[in-house]
Parts: sequence; C-alpha cells; structure tokens
Amino acid sequence: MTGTPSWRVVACEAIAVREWDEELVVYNDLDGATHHLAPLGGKVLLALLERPSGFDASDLTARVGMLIGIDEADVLAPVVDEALDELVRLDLVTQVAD
Amino acid sequence: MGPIVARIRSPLAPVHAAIARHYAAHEVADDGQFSDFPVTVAPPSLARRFIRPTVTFRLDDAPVFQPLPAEQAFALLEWGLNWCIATQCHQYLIIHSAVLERHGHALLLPAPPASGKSTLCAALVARGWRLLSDEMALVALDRGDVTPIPRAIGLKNDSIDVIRRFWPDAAIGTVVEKTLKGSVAHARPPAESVARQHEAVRARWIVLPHYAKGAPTALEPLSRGAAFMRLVDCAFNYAMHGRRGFELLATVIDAAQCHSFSYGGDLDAAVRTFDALAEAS
Amino acid sequence: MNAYRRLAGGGDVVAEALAGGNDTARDDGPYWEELVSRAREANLLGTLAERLHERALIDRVPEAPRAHLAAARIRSEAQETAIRRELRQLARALAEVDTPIVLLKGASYLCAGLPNARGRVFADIDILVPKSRLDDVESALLLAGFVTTHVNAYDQRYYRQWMHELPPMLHVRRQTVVDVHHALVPETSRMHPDSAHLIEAARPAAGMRFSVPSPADMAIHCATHLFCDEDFSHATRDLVDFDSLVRYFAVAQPDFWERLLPRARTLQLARPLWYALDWSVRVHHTPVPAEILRDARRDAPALPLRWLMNGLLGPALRPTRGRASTRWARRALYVRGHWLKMPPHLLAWHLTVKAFRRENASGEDGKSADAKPDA
Repeated sequence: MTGTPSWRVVACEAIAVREWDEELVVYNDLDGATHHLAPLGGKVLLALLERPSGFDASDLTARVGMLIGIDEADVLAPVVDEALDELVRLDLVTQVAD
Repeated sequence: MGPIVARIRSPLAPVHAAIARHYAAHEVADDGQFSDFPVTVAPPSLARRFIRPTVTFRLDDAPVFQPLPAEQAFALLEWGLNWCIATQCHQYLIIHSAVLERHGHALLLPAPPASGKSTLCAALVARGWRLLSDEMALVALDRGDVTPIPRAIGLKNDSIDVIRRFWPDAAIGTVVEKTLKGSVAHARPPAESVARQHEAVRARWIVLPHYAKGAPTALEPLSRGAAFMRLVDCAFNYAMHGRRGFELLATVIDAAQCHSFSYGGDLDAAVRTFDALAEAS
Repeated sequence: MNAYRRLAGGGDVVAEALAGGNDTARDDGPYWEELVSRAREANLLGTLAERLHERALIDRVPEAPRAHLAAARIRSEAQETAIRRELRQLARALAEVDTPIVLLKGASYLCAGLPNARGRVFADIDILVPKSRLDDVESALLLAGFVTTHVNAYDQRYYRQWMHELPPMLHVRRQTVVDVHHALVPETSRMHPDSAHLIEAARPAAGMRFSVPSPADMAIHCATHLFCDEDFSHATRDLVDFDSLVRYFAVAQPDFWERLLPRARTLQLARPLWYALDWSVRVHHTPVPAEILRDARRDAPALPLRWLMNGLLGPALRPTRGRASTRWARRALYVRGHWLKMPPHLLAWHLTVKAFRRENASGEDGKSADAKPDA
C-alpha cells in the first residue's frame, strides 16, 4: 500500500518493558535509554511490539482501540499520531521504508 | 563498614578523634587483612600543613578532589569514602537513598540533595528504626535485597539543631562551617545498627521525600512508574548495568509500596506516619 | 642484573600478576590489597580480571579482592557497549563525508577484535582523518550535535595550530567525546611522520564505516602515544597494550617482525618504537626476537641520554603508590613530552601560560567535592 505510512519498533529484541497500572517503563538497549510512558503512549508501543514488521496508521489505531476499549477511530487517530511522533522522537519507533 | 573495609591513614589528630567517635562501634580489621580502599586524608604538602592548612583525600595515593580547609578533614573523609563506593562497587546497583529497616523490611528514601532525606533518616533512627545507610542503597545484583553500610549520618545547616533537639542522646560531632554544603556535622550510628550491619533486607516501602518549610505532613500513593524513574534518576551506576539494572529495579519496585511524602519540619508527625506505614504492612 | 629492577626498586606486582606469575589462591591480605590498589590506579583492574578469567583462575581469588575484579569487569563491559553505540552514532554523523576515517587506540583494538580490548578502560574515541578533510569532518560533527571544547582563544590556537588534533569534540546530550586527529604527532614536533602512510595501509573494520591501522602501524602508534605524549599518567597501561599487541601480531601475522622496523623508520617513529620494545621486554618479558632488538637499538639515543631516560622511565612506568620518585619522574617526563612536541621557545611560553591559568582556575583541573560521581 504505497502512500500510507507504516510504523514499527526500531529493534524489538533490544526493548524491555514493564507495565504497572497502565504506565509503561521502557529500556532500549540500542542507546541505553530508559523511558516512562503515559498510558496511551505505552499502549501504542505495546501494540507495535506485537508486530515487529509494523502497522500502518489505521491498523495501529484499531489495535490500540481494542487494547483500551475505545473504538471511535476519528477520536483516537490524532492522539495515536501524537504518540507516534513522541515515540519516534525517543528513537523507539521508526517509519517503515516502503 | 558493612561489606567494605577501608584502610584510613592520616597524620591529623582531629581525624583520628572523629573516626574514634563515629566508628566506635565498628569492627576494626586486623592490619594484615585486605582492605578495599586504602585512603589517606592528609595535607597535600609540608607547607600546607601549616600555612593556610588544607587537606586532600587520596585513594591509592592519587588525589580525588581539590584540597579543602583542614577543619573539613572528617567531612572530606566521609565524602571521599562515599565517592569510592559509588564509583567502584559495581557489584551492586547503588542508589542515592537513605535506607532504614523496621520489622524486617527496608524503607528507601531515594532523593536528590536538599530533599530533607538525611534529617528524616536521623529522625527515624532516633525513634528506633535500624540504619542501613543515610546515603547509599547497595542493591545486590543477584538477590535484589539491600546490603547495609551503616556510617555516620551527615547533617547540614538547620537540621543539625533540629536533630539535636529531637534526638538528645545523639552523639553529634563538631559542626564544621562554610563547607561547599554549608555547615556540616555527623551523628554517630547507633551501636545496634552497626551490630546488625551484615543483615541485608528487601525493600518494602519506597518513599520519595520532599521538604518544604511549614508544609503539612502528608503521605500520598505514588505510581510505580514514577517511583521506578526516581530510582533510575538516583542510581549512581545504572548505566553500568544496562538491561540487567532495568530488570533489577523492576523487581525491587514489584515488591514495594510506593509513596511520595511531603513534610514541613514536624518530625514527630513524620515519624508517626512512617511507623504507621510499617505497622500497616 | 635486570636494569629495570635496579632502577625501579623492586618487583612490579601488577606486571607479574598479568603475566600469570603469582599464586592466585593465596590468601594474603596485604598482597591482594597492593595488587588491587596498584591495578586500580593504573586502570588495569579490568585487564587483570580478564586475564584471570581466561586462565580460569578467577574463582580461586579470595572473596574480597574478587569483588573488585567483578566490579571492574562490569565496568569494562558497560564501556565496551557504550563505545560500540557511540561508533554507530559517529558512523551516522560522518556518513556523508567522503574520506577514509581510521580509528586509533582503544576503539581500534575493539573493532579489530584484539585481546587487549577486553577488560579495557575506554574513554574518548580517537579518529584519524586526512588534514585536507578536517573542516568537513568538523562540520559534520557539529551538525550532529557535537560542540568544540576548550573554547578560549589560547587553547583553540594550541590545538589548531600546534597540535595533531582538533580540540576534543563533545556530544552535548550523550556526553561522549571524539578526538579528531590529522597527524600522528603534533605539528610542532621535531618528527614529521606522514599520516597518509598510516591511512593508506589501514584495513576496513568488519562491517563498519571505519578502518583500523595495520598491525605494524598499530604497534608503532601505541609506542608513539606512550613515549611522546605529554601526559604519562596512562603510561603503565599503554605499555601493557603494547606488549599485548606485539604478542598477538607476532603469532597472527607471519611477517610482522619483518615489517615492523622498516615501517617505523618510514614513519620516522623508530625512536619511540625502540623505547617501547626495550621497556616491554624489561617489564613484561615480551618475546621479541634478539635480532630485532639488536636492529632496533640502532635507533636508540646516545648512551648518556639513554641512562637519563631509563632513570626517568623506570619509575614513571611502574604503577605508583604515590612514591615521590614516580611523581618526579612523571613530571620530568611531562616536560620531555612537551619538548618533543614543541620547539623550545614555544614550549616556554606554553608552560608559562598553562601554569598561570591553573592558579586562577577555580576547580578547573580538579573535581569539586560536590560533584556527582560519574564512575
């Protein structure tokens, strides 16, 4: 599907996570950084970790919706987008080259 | 001191006196025993023994810090030993935290400087909590429990007088003025804490202290995620351990109740709060 | 009688332990305290730990000193990981700069898979680039988030005009440092080796954008860094590196001995190589073929200078326990190091300016007691 951006975790095997009460702490062995993610950011990352090859934006939104029990894609999509930007900035996630 | 043996050399009588006072209850190792840190607190040169006298702290005979005025010699020794442990003992994950014990469980107070953790630590010790350390939580990599290293409790500025009043039986040494941290004094650790220095314990309570003058005493629940990040931020050698450090701290957090604690100087209320916390578990 | 032992006044406990000539299981507190203390001071604790592991002797070390060896191992593993990460970042930063980039010192030992990389204490990353590409490399690093250090005008001039490297470049967020060299010794030296030789002979490091020096060049550069640098505090460790490199290459590369001296002479670095060979044999009993030593002696200085140098080098190369002779020797060698780098009139000016600034700097050359330990 050209034109639709896809996203994946930079290196699944390098990531360790722990979740407590919907908050996620993440360790990235590629750069040695440790992160504390708010609930939504955590769910986006957990979804991406389920599929190392990556998700396109709408599939990702759907999966995150399932994880948190919200199915209004139009409400969720921009928030997932923001979370993705943040995860990219943290070097946890990258766009899949097509 | 706990698992560490320091061989301390100094030509200065005040240093000998301070060691005799603060380490009175500690075991003195035999001269032929291995010491982890051969350190020296001494003037950097003959001239400096008499003219504007200063002292340096040396590990393996290499100076570690800039020289300080001679009156600060014992404080320099204590900071120097902290430095040695924090930069060398990577067989532990070391967190900048006070550690106390009650009913067989450890309370960690991980915090940056000026959070009031040393004052709180001294207050709890005064009321019967066992001291494991006022500065450093040594978390064993294999077991995840905390190894005691009870030493003199460092007190600064106002808290010196506060603790003198709160803990009349405390053996508090000479107050040294005008150090980099202001006025500094040390309180001798209770003999019982030293006697039990080989008893490691697991963390049951992780409490982030925050002091603000006049603030009400309040203990609030804290998310484990936030407590975890505080431990990461306060760990001296987290980067040394990478993934293993991450997993270890997660194990510590798993087993603990996490809180934030604010107080404004009412030490009685503070101690009651922690006593209640200990009873409730 | 071994001249070194006479000069240095006694056995070198660290060299002995590294060579395996001690009884590991012996429960002798003062011996282990001395060994751990000297090794720690020379940054050789990790190396010692590795060698004991390799010989399957680590479990026979008494518990208390063993904890220090374990801690040193943890540190060296963490540093190795950190260096590899930083090299990946550097490769990314320098991807667009079309020039050979040769790793030097620790990073090159690591990427070449050499035994002395294990257990090593790493600090900065040193790279060598052709002088003509220096600006492009510096720009690329600045773009990637590095800043130049030593920003005062004097130091900038010291580095850019007189030295063989840019002022160290610091990555602000990662707090890592890269030293960009364009020559093997400073501009102002009496020796003028052409770094193009080294760059040309460099081999690619497996799977990386960088290359590493050829075996002979690696050994020669190690010798040069040890004997020509102004800072002798790393001397003990550098000699251990040299011994390890030479032993390894003598086996791994059949024509290593044949190539070594001619190469050193081409690079005009035969004198530091001679010192390194001579001292490596004395301290570490490096198996250098007799005819190589004889040949290398041609590049030794005249006897009186040799006696003076040996008098200085003996104490300077021993891991110290604060002995006055070592401190004096190192200070005297500090001046020598500078002398090799700079013509005398410049040297006098440089030392005067440096001394003045050290008096005025508050805590600049030391650490404040308040500093958070950075392990």
